[in-house]
Amino acid sequence: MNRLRITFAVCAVVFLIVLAIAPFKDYFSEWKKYQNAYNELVAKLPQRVPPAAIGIKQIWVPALDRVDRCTTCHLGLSEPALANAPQPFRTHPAMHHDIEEFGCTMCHEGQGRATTFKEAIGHVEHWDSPILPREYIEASCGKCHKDQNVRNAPTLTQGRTLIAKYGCNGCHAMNGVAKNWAPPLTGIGAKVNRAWLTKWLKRPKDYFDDSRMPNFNLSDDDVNTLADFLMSFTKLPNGVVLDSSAMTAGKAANQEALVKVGEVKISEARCISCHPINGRGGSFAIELGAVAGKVNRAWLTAYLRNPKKLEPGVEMPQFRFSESDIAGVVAYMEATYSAGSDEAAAAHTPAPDAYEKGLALFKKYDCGGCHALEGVQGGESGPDLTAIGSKKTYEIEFGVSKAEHTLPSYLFTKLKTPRVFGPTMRMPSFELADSDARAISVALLANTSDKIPEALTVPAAPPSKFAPQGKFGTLVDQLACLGCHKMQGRGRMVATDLSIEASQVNVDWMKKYFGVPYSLRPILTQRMPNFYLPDEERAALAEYMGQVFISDSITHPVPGDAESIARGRGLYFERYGCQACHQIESKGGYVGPPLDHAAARLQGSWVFAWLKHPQAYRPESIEPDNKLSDSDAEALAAYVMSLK
Amino acid sequence: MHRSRILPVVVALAIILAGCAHKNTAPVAGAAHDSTAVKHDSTTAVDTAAHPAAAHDSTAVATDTIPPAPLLMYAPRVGKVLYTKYCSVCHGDDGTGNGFNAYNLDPKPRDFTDTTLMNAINDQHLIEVTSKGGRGVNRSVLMPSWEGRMTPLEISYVVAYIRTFAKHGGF
Repeated sequence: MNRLRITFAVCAVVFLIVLAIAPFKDYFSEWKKYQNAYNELVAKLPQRVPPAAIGIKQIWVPALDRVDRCTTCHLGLSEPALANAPQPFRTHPAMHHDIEEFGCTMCHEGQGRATTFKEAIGHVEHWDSPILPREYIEASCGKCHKDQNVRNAPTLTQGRTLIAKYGCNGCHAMNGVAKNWAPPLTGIGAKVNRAWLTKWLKRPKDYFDDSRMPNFNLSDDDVNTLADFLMSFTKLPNGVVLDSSAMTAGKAANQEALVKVGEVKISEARCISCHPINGRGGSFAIELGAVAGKVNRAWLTAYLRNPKKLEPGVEMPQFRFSESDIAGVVAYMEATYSAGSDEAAAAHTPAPDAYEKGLALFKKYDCGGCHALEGVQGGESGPDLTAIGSKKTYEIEFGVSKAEHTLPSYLFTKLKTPRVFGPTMRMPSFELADSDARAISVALLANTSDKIPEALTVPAAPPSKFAPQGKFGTLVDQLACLGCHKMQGRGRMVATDLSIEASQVNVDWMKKYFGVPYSLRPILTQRMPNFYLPDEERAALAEYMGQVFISDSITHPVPGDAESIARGRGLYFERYGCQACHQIESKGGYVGPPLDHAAARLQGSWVFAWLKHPQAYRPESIEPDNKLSDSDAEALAAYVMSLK
Repeated sequence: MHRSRILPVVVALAIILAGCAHKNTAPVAGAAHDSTAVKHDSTTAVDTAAHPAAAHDSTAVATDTIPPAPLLMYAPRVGKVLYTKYCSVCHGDDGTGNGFNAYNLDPKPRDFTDTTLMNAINDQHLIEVTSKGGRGVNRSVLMPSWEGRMTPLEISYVVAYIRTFAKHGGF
């Protein structure tokens, strides 16, 4: 009985102590210290800043299921006088969303309900979304903004662009990314030489620094096996049979003349707008600087005749070259882009099991995820990334890696050194720069399983269904117009959007332009190629556009009287400084199109409409929107249209 | 009999004690965040708060602790994209006023790397020139007005980026 009493007494004392601790602990809580410090700070300021009432503060956003108590300590977030105050009191930088409407953890992650710094940061047990490091903050924009280009989220936009460029969805399931084209491998044995292929498989960047194909870190044996496997596919698509006599033919008698023809054609066709040549030039297509060491003459000849027949889906235009032009281009390439072409094709006999082993490698590394190969289906795809941003830290296998145990750090490290986490990893190395790896990590972190109310999401624009038919459609396809121009929401935005072209320029000018295309916009590095279109094809293009690519709203008449023109001239030079960017008679800037002979090219009502609302027609253009009055725009248009 | 009476009391006590002593033990790897987040000074535009990497072991084979390169803070980061698009043709990628279009201009574009000059101009003035153009502040009309293209917030980002060209610039 005595023992029981003693136990009871001890319990009672302990209980009392515990009760005493509770209010004590509350009195000395961390946030109270911060609130007192804040009140002391604002009392010393010259401006009057209201002190904070002591107590826990929170932002409740039911729509996003967020309860954030960060403002308990971060007391000066919307107080401009505290722009240079020490943390946690400093003003939040100006931004796009209201804190009261979106809370804090929607963007920053961390543990919103916590009331101590350590717990709020969230690197604590059983909390799966610790605070997002500042470098990755744009990932949060991407939770709601699903477009590829998110205005004012440059890192996110860069990441999404890179994901599309490198075709991550070739191996990984990902939402909202269209599959990027990669060359089909059907018939590759009749296209490339084996020595080139082995080098390419070993490390694509050795051939082309900006190669989209990653480095699979294959052993020499694997490279050989895979090359044997691929070289066994010699049947070209669409029943194309190469002219084998071209392979053995020696140099033509008129070789030098041919090379000269080729040089002119290559420069007029502006190959360099899309293809880099020895590292200089476009970025849409493969390096040409050593192409003669890669593909053979017969294939190149057939390809220049009709690229899409040999590589279905390729963007390469079908230039209207004559047979002698093609011979010239091929001769020029063989003479100039010849690195590696002299390597003797050593006699090579594939091992008897090369096909089976090669097929296994092809499937193991999921080559078919990007490259079509007739008769070969399936491969081991990579993990699903549709909700990678919600992956829990404890689900990640960090293996022997020393990477910090957080999701952003995991993604960044994985992208930089894909196989560092364990010996069974198959992911190839894209040899990314830090900034690219971070941008892709940001874009991946944005793919969460968070439930965002529909009213708050900004979905990606649905892909345009514009598909021109008939003669025009065929030409657009053959000439790959959509590789540079947009039409009704389809195509790449390199050159102008053609959707309302016939309301902007004269149809007759268009026909002439197709004959001798020149660069209208000096700021562009890409140039309109000369496709050598015959007259009837030029007419077909111009007439279709003249009928269809029109906006009925562009009708505002432009005065032609001398007084308006004189006033417009004054506004042009003295008020709006248009000469900073546009040239007239070789005087002025070199950013926008020169305006000499503008009347021969442009339509007056378009000049007016454009000056009034440049942003409405071309959001990407850098033409300033001067918010002109109708009369100023009329006068300026009158002056521009007086330049005959 | 004794045991069965003591047991509930002990259990209750244990629960209370556990509740009071609750502490988050062993944060995964974020301890270093505490110091970086508190000490970080946003007046420097470059965010150097790198990942707290584990102590580097020189015998380790893999390059698996990669410190990401420094990154501009958000405002100048967005400002840089806008600057590159709208301003750099004249003011130059490096802010010296030697963009490729500058040779056509008289007067020449501002040199944003000129510390003395930039210290003499406050942000409000930079915002006004960018918004209203040269004509809005009685200066050369060759500087266009950008308020039709960029929101006030975006213009403030551009100014934040312009401030990174001159050392010790800004008020």
